[in-house]
Amino acid sequence: MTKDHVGELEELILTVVGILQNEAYGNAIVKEIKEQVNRKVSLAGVHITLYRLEDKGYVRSRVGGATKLRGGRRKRMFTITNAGLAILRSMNEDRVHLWKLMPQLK
Amino acid sequence: MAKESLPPKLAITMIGWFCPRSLYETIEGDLIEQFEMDMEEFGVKKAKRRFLWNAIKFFRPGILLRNRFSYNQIQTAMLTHFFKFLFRSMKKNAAYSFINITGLALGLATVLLIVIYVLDEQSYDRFHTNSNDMYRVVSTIHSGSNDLQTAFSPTATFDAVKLEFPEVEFASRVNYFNQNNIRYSQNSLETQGIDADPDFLKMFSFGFTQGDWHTALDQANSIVITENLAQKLFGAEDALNKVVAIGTDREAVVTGILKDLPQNSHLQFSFITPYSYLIKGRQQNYGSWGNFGVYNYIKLNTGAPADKTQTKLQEYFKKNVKDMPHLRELKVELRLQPLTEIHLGGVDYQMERPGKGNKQYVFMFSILAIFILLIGCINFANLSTARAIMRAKEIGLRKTIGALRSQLVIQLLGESLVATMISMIIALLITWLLLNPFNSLVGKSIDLNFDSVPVAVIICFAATLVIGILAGLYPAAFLSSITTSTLVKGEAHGNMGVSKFSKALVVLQFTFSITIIAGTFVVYSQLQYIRNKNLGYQRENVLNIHRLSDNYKVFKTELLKFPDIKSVTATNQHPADVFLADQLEWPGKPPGQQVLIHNIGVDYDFIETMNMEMLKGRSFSKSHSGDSAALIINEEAARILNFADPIGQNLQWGPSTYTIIGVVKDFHFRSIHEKVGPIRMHLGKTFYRNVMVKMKGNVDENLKFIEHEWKKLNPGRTFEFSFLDDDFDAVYKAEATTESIFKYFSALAIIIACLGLFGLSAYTMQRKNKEYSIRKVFGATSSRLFYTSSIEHLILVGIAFVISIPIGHFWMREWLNTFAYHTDLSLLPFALAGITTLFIAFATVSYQSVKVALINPSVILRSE
Repeated sequence: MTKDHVGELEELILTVVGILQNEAYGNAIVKEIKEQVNRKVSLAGVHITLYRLEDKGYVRSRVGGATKLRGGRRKRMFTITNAGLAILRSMNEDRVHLWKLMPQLK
Repeated sequence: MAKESLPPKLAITMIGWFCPRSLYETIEGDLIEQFEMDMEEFGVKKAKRRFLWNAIKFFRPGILLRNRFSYNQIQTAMLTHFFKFLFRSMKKNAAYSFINITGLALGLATVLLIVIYVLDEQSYDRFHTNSNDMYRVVSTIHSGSNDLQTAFSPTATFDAVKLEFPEVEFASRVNYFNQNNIRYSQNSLETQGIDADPDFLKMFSFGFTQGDWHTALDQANSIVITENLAQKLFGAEDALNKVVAIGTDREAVVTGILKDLPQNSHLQFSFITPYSYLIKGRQQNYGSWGNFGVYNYIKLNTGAPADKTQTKLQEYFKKNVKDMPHLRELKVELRLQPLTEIHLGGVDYQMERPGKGNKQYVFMFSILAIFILLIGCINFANLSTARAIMRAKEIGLRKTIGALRSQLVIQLLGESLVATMISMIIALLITWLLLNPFNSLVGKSIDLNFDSVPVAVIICFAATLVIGILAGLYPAAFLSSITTSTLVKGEAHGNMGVSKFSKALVVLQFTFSITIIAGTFVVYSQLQYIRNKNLGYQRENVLNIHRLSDNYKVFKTELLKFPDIKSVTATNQHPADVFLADQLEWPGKPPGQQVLIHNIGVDYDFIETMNMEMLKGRSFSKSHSGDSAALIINEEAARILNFADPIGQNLQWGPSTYTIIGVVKDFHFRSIHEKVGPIRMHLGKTFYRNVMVKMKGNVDENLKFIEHEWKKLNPGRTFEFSFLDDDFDAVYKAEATTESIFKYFSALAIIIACLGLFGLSAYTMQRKNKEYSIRKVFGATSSRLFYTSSIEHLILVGIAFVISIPIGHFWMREWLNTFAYHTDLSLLPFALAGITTLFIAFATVSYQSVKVALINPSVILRSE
């Protein structure tokens, strides 16, 4: 059976969800990515990727309490699952493995 | 945070539309949080813009497709299984589905063809850009006992309107002469052309492909030809500016090429020559108000009122004939007939070109179309209901597992729509396949051309939708309302579906069928009558050569040398279609009485060749040199003249005096639709057109010989001929068409009616299964049951029969009265129709009745 993997953006967002622990939601992820790797991602892109990751079972979500801040709308918070952790680990291992094989990087 | 600055409401509403319910709140929330941060960083305006932009970015498949279109889990499941069950049920009830769909498809196809026909008829002459302002001048001549309506008008009209009527923008005379022979190098053709004035090309929008239509007809020796003719004469060569020969003594330069004429133009011709040539060469009575001898077409200034001009023309006519005594007494009315009215107009004008449409037919077919469509649809609905009721258990089951009533309605409607769509597709296929046979049937050449396709497709689609929904609504609404328990228990009977309405419908269908079948018999017998009627002259074994031979006298002599050739003669018109006519003058004519008498120019031996019967006097004979001023009149003419003895009397005809030498028995020189009028025959001398040859024996041998002789004397001319009996049949083409159409409609009507009956009986049998079983248990015999169940349905046919008699009788009488000579209308056709229908209906019903008769009561009653 071929190994599962996720796309580049998915990997990035999945990792950031892992970083933010219980505080991972749309805007926070956008902000964190901008701060950590200086990349602009769109809110829509993040949302869609998150839903896809949830479909695949790599994250789970719950709806948080409403605050006056967001016009009264609740937040959907995401947390990484064990499967999510596993796939990140596996992808990273593969990357390191390939790097080691590349002559210029030795 | 600034409370007054809210994100744009529009954006928020928008998001609400396309985001799935479970997600949109949190999406909005994130967007708003972003907005608030942006407000701090960029200010309100930019923040709002960014909000909108961010919101729009959510409009992607990743979000859109997460919407669930159904309400709950069960409904989704239903949707998935919908198609599965649909096709499964269609396969199971394959027979019914097939019958239902085929029936509807047949009905739709018929309607489509009829619609195509009717639309085509309505479209005649409308393609000219100026068609709304164009008129033809037609005349009504009140003459004693009958009025003569003619499409011709006085030849003087043209000059008058051109000079004195400023509101007439264009005017043209149009003259059809005999078929003319056109030649270019090796190619020679007999074809129909017209003479017209230069304005013709300006009024009518027959497209020019080469040449300048402004000037093409200016020179008297020019000719304008159609592409088709150009192709035949010149092949690949360029036709413009070449010289062609016309007839025996004329040449013309090709000054223009016309696009081929569309078939929905009442004017049909292959070439146009200028009218000016005609006037130059011939001694016609030019500019005469008494010579109703040409078609006059005019175009008024855009929007000019026709009635004003008409009155003006009328006055003008009166003014000009004041000084002409015999014309003054003519009560003539000139009318401006709109161009678009010519093809279908109510009045049948004399001198009309062939191919005039029949408004009655158009009307009749439209009614037929609506009727067939209605019947087909209602049939469809009835059969669907019957079938659905048989699926009562299935429907009950669905309800049990939670189907909402609306879902059932949608399911049944959906099934109906799918079936209708399939029917429509089949119908379109049938129409496409049958278009050519249909064309030959109605004598047209309608094309499914591509401008009409989008409109037609939209109409078909809309019709499918409407029919599918309407037809499906009844069973759907009806069935879904029944409570579950009733359905599953199988108690689905009572007065469902089969109400008086369905029965009334079947009666209607059969009335219709019987009327049509009876009609077919009547039309058939009338045609037989025509074919067998004594025309007053012989039509068998007479050859009609379409063109006078050069050296006719020699030709005749040579032909007569052949033993099988009995007689040869010539005429200037076809004896079954005489159109030349003038006013009859005779001494002692009551003043104010106008009589139109036809005339025909013939050769010696005409009477003998055509085997006509002389009642008095003698035929033309070479031994009497005075016969060049002699006339033979027919019975009717003699009756009108009312001389004690017509032989020897003199008649003034135009400038010359003629003497009557004989009276011939009446013969049909025009269509049997008309009563035989008066006619006079004279020796035509040189203006002959047709040569008649009476022969016996081997036709092919004779033909070979005749053709050989012809070719000897007419090198390079085509030998065209036909047989007189065929010519005659051709005149009645319209009636033959009617006969065919009736035959097809009969078959169609019967099929559809039987479908309806089949459905009805199948349904009734189903319903009454229990009743019959119980009867059987109580001792009814199988045959008795068979009898009872059949009678129940055949009574409907009986009622239909009774109703159809007065209706059919009325219509058939109307039709027969359009013939001056016709068969009697008896009850025979109706009786025949009734019996045939009864027989077929019985066959239909008996299938079900046999099933009833063979019921095993224990099987039926066991399911209690």
